[in-house]
Amino acid sequence: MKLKSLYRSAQAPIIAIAIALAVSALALLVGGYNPGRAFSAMASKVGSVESAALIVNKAVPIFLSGLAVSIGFRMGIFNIGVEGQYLLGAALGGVVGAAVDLPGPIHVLIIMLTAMFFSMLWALIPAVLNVQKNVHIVISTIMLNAIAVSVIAALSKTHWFITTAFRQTRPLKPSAFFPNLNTPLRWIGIHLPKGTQLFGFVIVAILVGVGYHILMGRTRFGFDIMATGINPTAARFAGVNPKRTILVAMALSGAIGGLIGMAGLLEDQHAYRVGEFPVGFGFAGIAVALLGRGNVSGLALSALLFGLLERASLGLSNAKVPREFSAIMVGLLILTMVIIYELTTRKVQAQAIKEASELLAKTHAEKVLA
Amino acid sequence: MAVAIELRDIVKRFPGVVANDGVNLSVESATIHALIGENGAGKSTVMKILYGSQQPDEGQIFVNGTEVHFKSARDAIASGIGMVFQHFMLADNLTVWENVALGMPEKFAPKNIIKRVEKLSAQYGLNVDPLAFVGELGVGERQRVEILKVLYRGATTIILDEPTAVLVPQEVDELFESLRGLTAQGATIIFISHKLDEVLAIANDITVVRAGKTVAQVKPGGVTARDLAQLMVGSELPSPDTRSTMQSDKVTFSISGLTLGPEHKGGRNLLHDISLAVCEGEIVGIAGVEGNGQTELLETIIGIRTPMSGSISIAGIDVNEMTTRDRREMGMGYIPEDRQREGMLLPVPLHVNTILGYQTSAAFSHGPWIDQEAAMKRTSEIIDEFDVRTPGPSTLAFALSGGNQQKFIVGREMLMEPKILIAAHPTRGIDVGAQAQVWDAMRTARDKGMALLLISADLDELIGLSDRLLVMLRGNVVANLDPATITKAELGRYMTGAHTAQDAA
Repeated sequence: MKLKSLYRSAQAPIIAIAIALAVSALALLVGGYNPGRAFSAMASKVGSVESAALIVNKAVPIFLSGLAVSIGFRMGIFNIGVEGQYLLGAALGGVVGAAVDLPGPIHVLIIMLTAMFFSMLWALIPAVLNVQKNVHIVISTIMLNAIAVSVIAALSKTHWFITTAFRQTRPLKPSAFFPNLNTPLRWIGIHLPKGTQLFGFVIVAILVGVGYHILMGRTRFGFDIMATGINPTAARFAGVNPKRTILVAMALSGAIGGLIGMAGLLEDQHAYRVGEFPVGFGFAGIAVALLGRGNVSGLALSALLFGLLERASLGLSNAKVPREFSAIMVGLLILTMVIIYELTTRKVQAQAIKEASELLAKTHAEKVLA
Repeated sequence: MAVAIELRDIVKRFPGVVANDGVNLSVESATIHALIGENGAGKSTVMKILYGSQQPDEGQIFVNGTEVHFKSARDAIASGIGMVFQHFMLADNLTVWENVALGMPEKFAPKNIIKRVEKLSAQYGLNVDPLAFVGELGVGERQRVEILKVLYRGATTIILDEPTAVLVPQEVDELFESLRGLTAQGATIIFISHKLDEVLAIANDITVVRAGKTVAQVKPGGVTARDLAQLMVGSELPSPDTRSTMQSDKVTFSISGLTLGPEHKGGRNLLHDISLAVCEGEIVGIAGVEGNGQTELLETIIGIRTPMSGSISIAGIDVNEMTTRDRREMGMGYIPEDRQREGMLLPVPLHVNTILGYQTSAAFSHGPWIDQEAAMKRTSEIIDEFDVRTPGPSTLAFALSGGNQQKFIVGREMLMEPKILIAAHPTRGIDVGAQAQVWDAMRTARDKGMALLLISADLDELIGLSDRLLVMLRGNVVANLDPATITKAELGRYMTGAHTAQDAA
């Protein structure tokens, strides 16, 4: 039974990936490239221990972003604003982190809390506008993304920022560096090449993932969010305060969003550099949330898949294929996954209805016979 | 006169219910034929079958003497049958003629369309300007646009589903004027309603549907509203007479002077100075034609609407300022009017639905944690005790038939043993056997001391279960009756306002 359901749940993504690959191959052919060479060039980029670490590193912020977006999804809110939330959080985390001088763990914690706090504040703006004035969250979050970028640009003209090759926050002291996992890996016999690290932040991502899973699946708050997402009217009759739930959910989404940029800030760049700091995780998170369907393991797998494709796309230049093809593949993958999931859901639902009505017919017949 | 539409022995079954069980209807051409019946009697199923959106399991349909088999609404339209739904389907930001042309598979020639709309409007006396924007029209005019749409598509028989439900009295008069104009021009009208006075005023013939069967066809001249009410509800009285005498005079739930302001500025109050009390071990019934404030009363009681004045209290504690959750925690159970919209999470399993409304109850939660096991156990209890036909407690809620969903909700609320149970239409849509079960459960709970406020459209249920019976009309409580002595026909007269409160005293 368990194996069967596992097979069933694995079936959909495998079919989706196969279709996406087939269509990608077609697109490559049309473009005049050899799909076989392109795919093998991509595959050559992902075999090593080094690439595994890099894929995970890439997946960490995308996974966190997926979690932030999923909280909104669960209650029927489309929070497009994670992008602006995490960037603003990271920039201000960088400013505050450079301004204080504290012992190791506390320094790191202060920066993380600062980023979470400002990201949360930024997420609360659309939430309050929605609750008070019924402003649509999609619209307000899109606009707040643009505003966040402008705020950071304005901030970069203040004395909190310095000019190197980029406008950037003052570099963080080593006490604010988040430890990587290279040493523990060495203990278990895995040696990463020099210059490569596995982000220690992967631990934070796992903890947040577990927390999300427990919160959504086992608590009253998670129940309220789920009920509101499925049927807001019934949720109200069941005593859920919709306004309060929107505010709390958006605050939580924003707080998690604040962590997205932390691996980059605390483990990689050690400063917020305007124009250099990695962007786009907020949008990748939307795609991952769509694929993962609010389910933590689904989110993690989707994020890893994104990391994998990103890494593999580096191989495309070896096959003389433009890197843009990787964007095409990601797009196709999301599209096929969403379609296949929808079809499976319908099939499962139709099956449930059939079972229930067969039972009804049977009990009816028994009644008649008796 | 020629018969335009005829239905013979129509039977339509749904999982768990037979919606139509021998419907016969004969509509003469160029007349207004009313189809009346209680909610859930099967009127709308008849109309869906006639309009082709559902196919009958048995029986025949004849249009102008020829048998037809509609596969879809398109077939019905091709045979000259059109339908005007209660909820308009119009685009506000388009003009009248654009709305009429919308969805027509013909070449787009505005001039011709406008001309034809003008001609139809004049011919049938509908008085609609084809160039007006629909968004700027009143409700009555919009309804006439819907009629125009149907006429434009070549309909000679028009079905109107509860057309007066959305209209104010003057608009009703205008609509009736238009309908008479239509029949004078040869159109046939089928008019669905449960408002008896209106039916008597407009119809040439009246067919009564009860429990899925057509029970009579009468002429308005020969009957009174009281006769029609009797035909609608049937003459046999409900069986239950096991009224318990152990009522206490301890008030569990009371409302006093409750007034709810109008929906729109300048409208009339939705609820006006409502006062009532339900004692421990008592069932108080509220009768009334749908749309007379029952929904608003329910929503105010549960805390979704805020009254202008008045108070609500549970066991002597004022809950007016409390949130819905606080009220629930105080011991208010709630069986909602619309089970799917207000009482269920359809895409998730039953055992999750068991928790809905009781997230904070000690039965299913410890601190912030939800106790899934307790919910699972309770779900099995609900399934056993209320005979919910389901493959199991983990079945997704939408897979159940409507009646079983209803039984599930009733079971969920009853097993929580609330102090006061607000039960709106607790047996709506469930079959007769299950209905008796739910009634028994309610009586048992009452005898154990539960206070119940029963709002229902089923007069048998109201008379059979209630210890006291109130009647609502236009947001007011207009009568306080003794169900032991009242008949359904009399109750019907209070509900339609034929009797006044003075008579009751």
